[in-house]
Amino acid sequence: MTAPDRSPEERHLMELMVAYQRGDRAAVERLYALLCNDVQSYFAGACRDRRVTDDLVQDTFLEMHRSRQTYSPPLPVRPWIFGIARNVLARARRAAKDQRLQSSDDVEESALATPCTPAIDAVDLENAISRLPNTTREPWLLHHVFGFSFHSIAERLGITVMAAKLRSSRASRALRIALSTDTERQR
Amino acid sequence: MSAVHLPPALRAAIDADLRPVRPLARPGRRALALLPLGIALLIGMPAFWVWSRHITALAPWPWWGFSPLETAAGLIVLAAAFREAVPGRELSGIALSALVAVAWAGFLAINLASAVAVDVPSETVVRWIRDCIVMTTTFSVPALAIPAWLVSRALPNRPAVTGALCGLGVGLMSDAGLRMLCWNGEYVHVLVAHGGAIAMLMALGAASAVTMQRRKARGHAS
Repeated sequence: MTAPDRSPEERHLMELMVAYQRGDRAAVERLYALLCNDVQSYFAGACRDRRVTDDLVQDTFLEMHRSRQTYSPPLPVRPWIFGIARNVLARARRAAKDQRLQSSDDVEESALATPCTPAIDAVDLENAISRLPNTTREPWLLHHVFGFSFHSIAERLGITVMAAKLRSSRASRALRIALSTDTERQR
Repeated sequence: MSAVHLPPALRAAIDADLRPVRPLARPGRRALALLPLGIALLIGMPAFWVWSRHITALAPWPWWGFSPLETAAGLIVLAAAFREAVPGRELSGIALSALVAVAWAGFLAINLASAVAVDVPSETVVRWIRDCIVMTTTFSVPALAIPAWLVSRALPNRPAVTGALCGLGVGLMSDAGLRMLCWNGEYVHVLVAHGGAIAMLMALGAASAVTMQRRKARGHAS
């Protein structure tokens, strides 16, 4: 199977995934080295506690290992791994919420549930970001927070460059509206 | 090359289970593997009820032609569910809405266009509705376990959506068989009995997929 339109990096990732599915240990190491920082950046947008972020990165790669049969070559690897990261994040949030309900004084778990700290504006912004639909939030975060180009975002998410721009712009508009509404409410 | 290395705990977990795996087949192929299930619901279900309830009159045969179409629609919806279950391959909101709308529109069009006006005594309306729901769910609820199991092998990010799509697919396939036994064209009957059974399966599929996903997550955590 070939993937003629893919970038060399994406093709390389695909080859590594195929090798991984065949049980090649070196391929796992290479995949981790190539993707670890991206996954870390993804979680850093949702959680500021470095320790929790590191745990989530490990969980993602562990889940990637358990679900490695769900990757179908020659599809791009990045949308798949970010899909797994989304799943891990949702699971962690649910676990933290359950934990909080069980014991309200559990400080460690609440760090994950309320990742953003002090300033009220930052809290508002994070709430507004968390209310965005997944489809628009990710391109917005990747572009405005992590500084990825739209071309790179399109490649990561498996969408067109135009779609990445459009989603990011929709997210910006939604955030502007949400934040102005919050501010008016506070007044 | 970057100097990033696997953390020891992660490496140990991977080493403990680094066997070759076969990638999941394409969603369409996985759905096609459920063709025998579709045929069982299309033929086996009416045959069973004809035998067990001594039903003597089946739907007029020209209308049977629509049933395989409904089975095919069910398989297409199941293929979409299998795709939805793979991380990074989730359907967009528009595609998902269009798929569900077209599936329901197809169901209504097939049932209402091919139904015969039947003079149903008012005292049996409710009983007929109940009978249709019982006849469908008796077969389709166990049948739902098969696509649910296939979904559980993947990692759905929206288990409720994936499960509901499974329910819709199985519901359409079982309705294809049911309409051979019941060709009551009353709007109320079609919507409440036949449509209601499909809606129930969608809800059941969503609930079971969410439960299964949570159990899986809890199993991994412990």
